[in-house]
This record gives sequence, C-alpha cells and structure tokens, in this order.
Amino acid sequence: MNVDNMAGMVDDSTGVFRVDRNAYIDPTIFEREMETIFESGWIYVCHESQIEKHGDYYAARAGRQPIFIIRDSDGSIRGFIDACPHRGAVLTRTRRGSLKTIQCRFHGWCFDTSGNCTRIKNEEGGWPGGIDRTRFALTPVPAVESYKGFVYASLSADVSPLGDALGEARHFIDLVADQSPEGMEIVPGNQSYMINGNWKLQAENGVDGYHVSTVHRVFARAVAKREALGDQDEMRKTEAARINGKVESGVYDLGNGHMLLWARRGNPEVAPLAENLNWLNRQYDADKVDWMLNKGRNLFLFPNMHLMDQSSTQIRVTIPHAVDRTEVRVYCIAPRGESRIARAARLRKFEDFFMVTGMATPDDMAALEDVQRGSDGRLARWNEMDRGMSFVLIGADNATAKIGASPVTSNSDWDSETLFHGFYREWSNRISVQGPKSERATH
Amino acid sequence: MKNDKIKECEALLYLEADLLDSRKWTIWRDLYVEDCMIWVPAWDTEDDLVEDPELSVNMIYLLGKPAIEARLHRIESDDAYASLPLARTSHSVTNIRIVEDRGNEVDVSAKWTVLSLEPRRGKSWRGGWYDYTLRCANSGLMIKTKKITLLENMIDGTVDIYQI
Ligand code: FES
Ligand SMILES: [Fe+2]
Repeated sequence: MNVDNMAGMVDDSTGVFRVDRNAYIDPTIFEREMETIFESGWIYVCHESQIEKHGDYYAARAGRQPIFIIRDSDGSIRGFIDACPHRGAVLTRTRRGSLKTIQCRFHGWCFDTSGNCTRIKNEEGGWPGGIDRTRFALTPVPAVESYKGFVYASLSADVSPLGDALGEARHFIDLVADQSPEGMEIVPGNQSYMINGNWKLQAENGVDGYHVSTVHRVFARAVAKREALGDQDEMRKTEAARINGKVESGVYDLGNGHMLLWARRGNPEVAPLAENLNWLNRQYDADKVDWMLNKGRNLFLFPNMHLMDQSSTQIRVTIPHAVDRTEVRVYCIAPRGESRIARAARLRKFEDFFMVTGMATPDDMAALEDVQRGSDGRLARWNEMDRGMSFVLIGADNATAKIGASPVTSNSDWDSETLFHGFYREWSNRISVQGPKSERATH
Repeated sequence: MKNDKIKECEALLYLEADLLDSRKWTIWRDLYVEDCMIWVPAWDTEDDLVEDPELSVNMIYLLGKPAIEARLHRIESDDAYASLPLARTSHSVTNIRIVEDRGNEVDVSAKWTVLSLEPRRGKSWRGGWYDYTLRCANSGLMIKTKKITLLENMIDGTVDIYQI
C-alpha cells in the first residue's frame, strides 16, 4: 500500500464508522506504525516498583528497537538503546535485573548507569591517536518520564510532556495509583503470551464491552458453578454482574487515542480494595471513592497499555512483533501493605480472568484470532464500529463530570463502539503524518 | 513392598494421562481427593518460579474439586470460544520416581510432554515436570496435590488444564 494514502483507512462519513481490514494484515502499514507510533512517541515500559534501586533495569522494545530503562545513582530513571556502542551486542541479560556496572559480554566494555563508557579492554594500544571513551557512551532514549509510577519512553525527543500526552486519561490512572497510602507495587509472577493477531485488535479487545455477554458468559457460568459447589470464601467471590446482565456502564473516547470503559460492580464489598474504605473516605471525596470502588474500569492508554481495575487489577502491555503477531505481558498491580486475605483474593481473581491459562482470556484470544483470519477476506473490506452513534454525547456525561474529567465523547452504554473512534482517529493521524503527533486534535 | 508402591504410582499417573487424552473428564476428576490442589506456578524471572502460590501470580492454582469443576464446565459446555473445537492431546509421562514415602502419603516426581493439536493454531509441543503428592486411601491411591511446572514463560496460544 502507498504510505502517502493511509488516511483512507478510516471511513467516518455520516452515520458510519468503519476501519479498512487491511489495517490488520498489511505489513507495510505495520512498518509505518512502528516508525510513526511506537518509535516516535510515548510508550509504556514498566512500573517504578520494578526498578526501585540503583542499577535495577527493565529491558523492553520500542517498536522494533531494543531498549532498557535503568535506575541511575541519583535516583533518576534513564533509558538507553540496548546495544553495545562497540559492535552492537545487547547489553541486558534478562528481562529484569540489577547492574551498577553494565559489562558487555562480547568484548568486556563497561558502562555506568548514566551511560558513560567506563572501561575498554586493552585500551592501551591499537587505536590511532589513542581512544576517546566519551565517543562510546550508550545512546540515550531521548525522552523518559514517569507519571505516578508508570514509566514511559519515547524514541523521539519531539513529544509533548508525558502529562499532556496522557491528558484526560490521568484521572483514571489516578484512580489506580492513589489506592494506598504506601503506593502500588507489582506482585511476583507474570505471564507473556503470543497472539496470532494484530496489536490494534488487542487494544480494542481490552476495552470492548460489546463482546462480554457473548464471549464471557461461559466464564460467569463456570464461576457460578464453583460458588454453588461451595468453594469460595467471601472476598474471593468473582463479580459477574457485568457479564450476566445490564448494569450501569459507560465508554469514553478520552482523546489522544486513550479509551475507557466502566461497569458498575454488583458486589463491590468483595473487592480487595474495600478493606481500605475508611482511609479512602478520609482521603478523597465521595465521587472519587465511588469511581475507585464501585465502577469496574478498563483503561487503554495509547498505544500499548491497558490498566484494568475490575475483579482484579492488571497492567497489560502490548508488544507488536509483526502485523499478525502480538505479544502481551500481564502483571498484577496491587496496593502495598494490603492484607494477606485481600492480596490472595486479588490474585485468585486475576488468575481466573486475566491469565491465558485462565477461564476468560483464552476466549478473548480465540475471538481475536478469528478476526485476524477473517480479515484475510479482502473482498469484504470494512470492520464496522457504529453501535452507539445514535446516543453518543459530545464531552462529559454525568459520571465523568463528577470527577472533573472531560472526555471527547461519552456513551452511557458499554455495548457501544464509539470509544474506538478516538483510537482509530489518533492511529490514522499518526500513520498519515510524518513524525510524532500526540497533541489532541479533536477536542 | 517398595516395588509394588512404585508400580501403583506409575499406574495412577499413566491412567490420569490416558483419561485426559480420551476426554473422560468425570473419571479423571474422581482421581482427586476433595481438598486437592492443582498448581501451575508462573515464572517470576528467567530462572525462578514463584514460591508462595497464595501471594503470587500463578498460571493455574485450583484449590478443591469445585475449582476443577469450573474448569471442566468450560471444556464441556461447548460455549467457550477457545475450547470449541477442543485440542487433541497426547500425554507422555516418564521418569516416574518416588521422592518420599510417608506411608499414608507418597511424593512422586515425573517428567511430561504433551503434543497438542489445536484446530485453530496447529501443533504445539510442551513439556515440564510433575510433582505429585498421592494419598493412600482404602480404595487405592488418589491425587492430593499436583504441581505442574510448565517450562515456557511465553505461551504461544492458550493452555488449558488438559493440555499440560
Ligand atoms: S560488542 Fe560490546 S564490547 Fe564489543
Ligand atoms: Fe474479553
């Protein structure tokens, strides 16, 4: 496909919103996305609790490029291209680790956590005119910032400050980040899985309310069976109200490609966070506490992270490998200092729903892979995302107005697809124009 | 006699493998005691599995038969997207060894490989280790706990309880 003609991929002429299925199968579009989205703007990398001490690092990918984020001696967070300045070997050994001196394992050159080259093997001879170590500093990732513990990196320096890029989504990040006086942490244990599908389908799936009552009704029934057989103690009960029937809900285009879905919890008293209720009530006004505790939320942060807070709490990172291959890494994020009972309940609910070895995520993956296979039917060109257009609101609805959030559009029915419009408009803008462009254009 | 005990353990492990492959779910479930545990720990790093299942993310952590029933419901209901069609599997169990015999309970370790033919995704070949605690009941040996170590920490596709 001609890269100058990417804008026609989204059709939002009156009364419809549809996306060309070529977006999920064309490798040239994928290369373009890597260039103008994943390698030119903010992407989520890790949580600060994963890199607490000097030398702690986390290895990741920004698009096609290996990077690592490391805690420097002064406590700041730095990022570097994960390639030795000498002859290019990757410098990290494991996904996470701790190295105050980063020694390349190929020829033994050393670097400190600020990226300076501190040792060159057999430095004394062989270089005409001697050697200048400053030439061999690590290549820094041009922008690294953290918002409330969520660490972001950009391979382009030409980006808005992270706070501006996150924009209205910050209200909903705060609803997770502010849950404990001691902050949040990543719980031991994680999982990666590989989907035979495009990364945008994964982005959609995590905030799609419309599929829940078909794809996950079997989850609700399985859990109901378990509970009927007398298995669960109180806090471990999984809430299935949002799967089984109509509850109050909403979906939002938050601008800059960010999206939010929420649904009222049927039994918020079994939420592990409920044990912090008194502290939350002292700390925040009633509307913020209501959002934290009673509204189960799925937040998508463009382009590569979901932050879920419903039956359990999850960070889900999307790593595109190819147009039809997407890696997902999942972590459980939890309030530090929560009780053993609450932590265990949170984890069991996490395993039930969020693991690819669990009882819901495999079904999401199967559906997603079916969409990927169906997209090969090129003669049928469009994916339709029209539902909810007849009752979409421009700006905030009552629920979001209560916490001072200003979405681009609101829709008080989670069977609506209007939240995807913002995602695909941002996507289309970013692949249509050269270079980064993450300022809100539609608000 | 020691010799009979290992034979008995082997027979149980081979039977379990065959019941899973032949989809005899109810008979398979009845190999387990009421307060059973099936635990598939997640990897925390490249070298280490999580240690405390209660306070870590696990791939699978089922406590008691109702938790197994819930998993079977997905398999049998014909309504789980990922389980229709079901994968065809072949379990191979080898290196079966008694680690400790306490009389009423016996710890047994083994190695496993499972070939899965998934209609949606094709062939997958997974492997790892089993660590069992078997309980000696009047009717014979039953499974009290089964820890399944899955070598992969990057799962290509999906994995259900009958595929490991
Ligand atoms: S490639 Fe790193 S020291 Fe040579
Ligand atoms: Fe889903």
